[in-house]
Amino acid sequence: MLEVRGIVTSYGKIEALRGVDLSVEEGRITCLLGPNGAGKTTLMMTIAGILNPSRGSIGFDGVELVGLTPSRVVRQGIALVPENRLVFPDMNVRENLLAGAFLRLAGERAEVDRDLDRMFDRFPRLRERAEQNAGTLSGGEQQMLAVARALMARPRLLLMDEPSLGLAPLMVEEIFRIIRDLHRDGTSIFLVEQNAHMALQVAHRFFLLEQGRVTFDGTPGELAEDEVIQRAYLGSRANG
Amino acid sequence: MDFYLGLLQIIGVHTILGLSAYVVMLTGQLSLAQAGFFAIGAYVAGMLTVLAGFHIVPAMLVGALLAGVMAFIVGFPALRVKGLMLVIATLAFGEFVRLFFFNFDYQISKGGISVGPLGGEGFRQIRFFPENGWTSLDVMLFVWAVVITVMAALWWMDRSRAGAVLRAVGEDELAAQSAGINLTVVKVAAMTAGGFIAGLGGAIYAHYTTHIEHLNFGVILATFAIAYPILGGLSNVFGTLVAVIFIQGVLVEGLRFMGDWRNLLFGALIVLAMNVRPRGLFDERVTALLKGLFTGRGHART
Repeated sequence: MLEVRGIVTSYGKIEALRGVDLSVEEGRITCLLGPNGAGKTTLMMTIAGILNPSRGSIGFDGVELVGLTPSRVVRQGIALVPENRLVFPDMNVRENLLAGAFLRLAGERAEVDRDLDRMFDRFPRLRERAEQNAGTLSGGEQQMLAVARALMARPRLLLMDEPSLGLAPLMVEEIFRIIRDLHRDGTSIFLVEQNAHMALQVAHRFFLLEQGRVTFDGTPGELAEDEVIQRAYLGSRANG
Repeated sequence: MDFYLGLLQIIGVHTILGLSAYVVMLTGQLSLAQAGFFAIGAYVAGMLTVLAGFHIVPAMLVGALLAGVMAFIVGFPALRVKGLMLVIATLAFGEFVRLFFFNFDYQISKGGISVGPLGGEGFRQIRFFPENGWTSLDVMLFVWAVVITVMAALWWMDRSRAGAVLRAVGEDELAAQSAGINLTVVKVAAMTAGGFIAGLGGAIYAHYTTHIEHLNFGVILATFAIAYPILGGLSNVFGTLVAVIFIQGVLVEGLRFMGDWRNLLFGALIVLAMNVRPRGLFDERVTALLKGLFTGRGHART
């Protein structure tokens, strides 16, 4: 579905991604692991078109994404839930969701309203707070809102950049339940996650990004067996 | 009486000018070009009624459309830069327009008198209102009909999805982009709408003062244009109106008895107002309070 080949992205002289190759399969949950500064967010922003790579290609169902504006990438069917959620704090929940339906402005009013209703069904907490400013929501609720906003664009592939960052353990469980639900309903998901234990329970395939390169690629089973990864990411509780 | 009608006309036109900056500001951009668009509307509409014998309404619409087209053209290069750089770029454009009219002559002879813009001497005798027997009251009502139309249009826009999209860009460009919002389209659209509205304001201004010159459209006017929505807050269109009444009605006119001290106090009061109400005179709290009063239920959110 998504083919990343030899992507190099730099900030000025510093190469954050130094030739990344990976692929995301349709109907799967794919997880990108890696330490801080490995380039995970850079990769997500590059796929979303916000950053321009200096080399390499990104194919999405045969369409080349490199060079497209972020808006066109979303139009192709990829939506990003950015790191730290980035909801619009001074707009209410409903307006936040409507902003996510930008690409469907003309002539689809009824359908957008229906999608809005579906989001509220999926996230009842958001319905309760529809008229409340997004900045007043809890971290978990903001994360739900960011996910719902991305879904308003009806993506086939959802990119999620550290959805569990800074959330209470119960909320992390909730976010992963949502990820499973979305996957069951047919959305492919490409996830950046530091919480390897939670990721192990949902993801079908893992990539490990270190210093701008993919250094491991495998299934959850292979990941759990890899000794280096066990020590670095799963700690002593790997099999517990 | 005429003094107060005149004051209401000024407040009306400045509200339109302030709203033109408000639209652009919703997308997080600060434009000092609004006085330039205002000047284009003023000169074009004035020339149409004086030289071509147009009625004020079509002349106003043509002036506003041209101002909107200019804003559209300026929007593309200008909005590639942000923040202070954008302020400088739009300031440069405003000065460019002003200096264009400083050098612009286009006079024809009408009944033995030369009429039309004459460079530094300005554009005299824009006498559509007196020639057609409009009283000050008629003019004032006309101004406010336009103000109310513009406010209603913006109010409706703000409540629709278009408003959500504009504000989304203003709040967080990165998040807006990842939600699929095309920043260029949104910013240029806001700029164009702002140019159109400023053009409307300029067109009316030219006709009630009957004499315009390049000095009317300088940096001071551009600063006023952005001061209104900044002081009034971006919660809704009424903030801008309140700010115009505060500045033009209370500060400029109300402090006249202070003589030379007025300008000094003027600045001090604006600084004070910004400190007491950092999110604008008409912020969310006032909105919520009024909502509570009108619906008769609940207390304001604090």
